[in-house]
Amino acid sequence: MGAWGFVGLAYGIVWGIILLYLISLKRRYNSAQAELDVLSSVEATDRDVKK
Amino acid sequence: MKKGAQPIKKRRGILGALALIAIAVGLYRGLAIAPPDAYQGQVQRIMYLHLPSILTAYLSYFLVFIGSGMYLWKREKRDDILAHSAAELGVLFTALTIIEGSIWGRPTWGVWWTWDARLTLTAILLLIYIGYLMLRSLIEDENRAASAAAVLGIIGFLDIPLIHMSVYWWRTLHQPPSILQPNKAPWENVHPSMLIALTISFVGFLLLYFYLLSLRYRFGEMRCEIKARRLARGG
Amino acid sequence: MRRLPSTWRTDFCSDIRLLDSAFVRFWATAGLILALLLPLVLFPLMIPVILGTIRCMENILRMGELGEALPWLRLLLGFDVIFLTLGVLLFDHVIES
Repeated sequence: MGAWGFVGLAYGIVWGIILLYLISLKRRYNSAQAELDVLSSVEATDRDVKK
Repeated sequence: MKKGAQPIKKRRGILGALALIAIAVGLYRGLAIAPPDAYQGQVQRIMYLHLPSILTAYLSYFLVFIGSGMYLWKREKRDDILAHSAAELGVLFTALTIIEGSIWGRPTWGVWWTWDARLTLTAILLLIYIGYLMLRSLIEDENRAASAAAVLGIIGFLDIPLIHMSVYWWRTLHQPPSILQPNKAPWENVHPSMLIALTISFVGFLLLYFYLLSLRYRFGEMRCEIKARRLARGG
Repeated sequence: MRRLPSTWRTDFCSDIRLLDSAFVRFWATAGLILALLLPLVLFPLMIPVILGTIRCMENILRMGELGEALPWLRLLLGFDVIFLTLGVLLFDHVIES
């Protein structure tokens, strides 16, 4: 593997891993946000019911 | 709670965009404009990733230390969330550092890995904070997990200089002079273009780090809130 | 050949079943995994102590004195000082009554 091959390998792996982490983080974030929204709406309907 | 969220999200978005720009410019300068090293050739360009990675990791572990200390002192959830987030990112960047170093080492030293002082030190660092994450996930009670992890966060960070000293002495004393050159940046005669590439890359990494930290921190907050609300509703 | 009393057989079988479920539950608890994991987690932190002790003992056993290993002894003492101080400072904050 030539010199540029190693450079490409390093940069590729690094940015690939960072991208994968970002995607996984965004996914976790969105699912938590969705769950919070569900909980908020449930609480809102509870309050409406009580009134 | 939605009202305060929008400006934060917007600021985070700007941070992310800035990070992207800095990284792109850094890539361009590091790969296209900066000249290849006189001795190492093109492979030296990996250093534009390697140095910022390890410095970012150290910054992250420092934040773990601060968060852990604050948590043990004030017992506020947000410090614990900061510590946990910073630990996760620290592990990410340390792992990246080791990978980059390994790929750099293959053409430069001829080996993918060696038990050189600095490499051993970085591997130990990775193990310590992977241990931190494992500890958190295995203790069931939230508060006890946070306290235990906070202690680990503090002693882990303070142990780093000691581990550094001991590993360095271990590998360099009582050894015959090594043919392996430790990775030292030649600050005396480094081409200005290289310095620029390195600095811009570092700025890019920092911005990226804080963007990721902001996301991860918010995620931690949300998880906390979900738990609290579920508890309030009775399961 | 005398046959085992039937009561012995059922007792034995239920004992095995009890042992089996206890065995499974024993390994499944996160508490046990944690107990096994804690030394593993603490090991990297103890590396200066381990290395320092080895180098000091090496010199003492070979030459009867520390000699070159004096810096290692200083490292061990430094480690002790730092972690004793930390222990004293953190104890109140960590141990909940």
